[in-house]
Amino acid sequence: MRPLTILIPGKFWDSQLYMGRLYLWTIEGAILTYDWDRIVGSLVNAPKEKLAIECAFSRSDFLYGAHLASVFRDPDVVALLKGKFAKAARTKYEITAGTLRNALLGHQDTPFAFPHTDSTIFKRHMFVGSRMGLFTASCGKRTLKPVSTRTERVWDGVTTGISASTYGIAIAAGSDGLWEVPRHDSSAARPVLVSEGHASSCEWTYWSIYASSHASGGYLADYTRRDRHPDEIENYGTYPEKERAFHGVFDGADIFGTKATYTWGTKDKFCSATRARISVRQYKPWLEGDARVISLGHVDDALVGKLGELVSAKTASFGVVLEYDDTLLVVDSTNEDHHLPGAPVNWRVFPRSKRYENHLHVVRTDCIEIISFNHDYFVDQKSKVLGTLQHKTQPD
Amino acid sequence: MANRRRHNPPPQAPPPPAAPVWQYITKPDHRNNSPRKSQWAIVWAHEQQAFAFSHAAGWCAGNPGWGLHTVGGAPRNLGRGARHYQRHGIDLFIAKFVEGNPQLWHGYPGDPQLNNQDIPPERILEDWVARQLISRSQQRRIMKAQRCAL
Repeated sequence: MRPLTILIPGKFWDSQLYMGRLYLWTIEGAILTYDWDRIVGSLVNAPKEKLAIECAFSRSDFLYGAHLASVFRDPDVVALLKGKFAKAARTKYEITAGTLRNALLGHQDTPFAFPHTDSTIFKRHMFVGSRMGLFTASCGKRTLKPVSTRTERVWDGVTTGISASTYGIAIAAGSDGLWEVPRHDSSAARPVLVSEGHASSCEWTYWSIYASSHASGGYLADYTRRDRHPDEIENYGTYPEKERAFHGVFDGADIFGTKATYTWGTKDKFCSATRARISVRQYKPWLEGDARVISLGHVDDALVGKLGELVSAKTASFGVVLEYDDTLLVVDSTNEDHHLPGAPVNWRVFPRSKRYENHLHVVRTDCIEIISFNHDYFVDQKSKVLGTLQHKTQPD
Repeated sequence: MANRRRHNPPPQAPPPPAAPVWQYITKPDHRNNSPRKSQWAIVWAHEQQAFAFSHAAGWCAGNPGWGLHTVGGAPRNLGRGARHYQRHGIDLFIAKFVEGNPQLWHGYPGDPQLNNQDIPPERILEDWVARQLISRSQQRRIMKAQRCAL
């Protein structure tokens, strides 16, 4: 199934999308904040065309919901929805200057170091990393400017990648290793060294963290969860009832049983790309022993071995995104290839987002492409190999 | 107010180029196949040229300084990663120059994928982008310690 694309002209460095607001960093270091729902609402006028556009660009949660599983078993409904997405994908939506002007909510200098290495938004706070460290500022719609100018330093080391979850902020610090700022008392939290292994990027895999790096090959910082003692809960009432306990660091090469040179993980999936093959492991950290990591086999893909050296990779709900020297390749959860030629200035996926987990943002030198993949709504989530498990089925 | 005529001084021949006040020496451990050190892949004369070019470009205004080995205006491979640390040896494209004593410099191939200290600061990378020596995509990859061929 062809993805849908929105194109916004301009020279940008990075993008974030959170709770109906699109944040674009210009190459000069300004942040433009747009009313994303207004932009999406302007794309089509006919009511019968709005459902596909809305699900594609602003409400991925509509069709991923567990309550819709029975609806998706009806072939007539599936055919109708697929037809709507196919029709919408025939148009490449370029946003005009007038639409952008009308949707602009704010134009401000970035309060963070620029250019930065990575950014994320979690619980109405924007986190931005650079060699100066990791900083955060509120973006909760209660400040004068869309992103508060009052920044707070979370970590003062080199930051090459970040990932936020309910458990804390994971920080890839290059040759300084993998660090974590636990969330439960974030105002006073001190960064904790998780592993000294090289980490250029990181992602949460449930309550564990997967670090990726060409230098280390990637590794899993594995945690278990245990019930807290009742006294502990009483004394620290704001703590979650379950406590994470460090279990160990496991090299990607050990997880994949081969000399994997680059491995990565997100949520329930660990991946490794070698030659013309993507190998996949499923992670179930609530189980015991070997059952925690099981092989889902591999996907053979001729393009994977032909596009040159792998630079980086991420997993999203819709599949895996592989970055090579001069191109991006998406291998979706139906194992179909989507080749996006040209080295991007930047790109990101939103695997922990509620409304935008089907998005791939690709910053080009003269525009940003916001690409929406919608095939995964129709894929059996339990049996798919590529892409993270989505809400339609609950974890075992 | 009366007009004042400006008298421009007569044109003069430009002064002869001053001999560089710096000295550049090569360090043997980056040319002796040491497994724990990155190794130059360019001859000594090109290493010195790379430093002279980088110094003139202002990339060695601080210590450490940074440089590229350019051929025809484009960066070229200048070294190989230290074998001991690499899962597989990689080509290196960025030189790191150190002023060990005043005006006495030496350098080695930097490995930003392996060492945070080998990632050039933003102002250097911005200048390389402005001079079209690297792309924005390559700038991001260097900053994020990702694999990056120039």
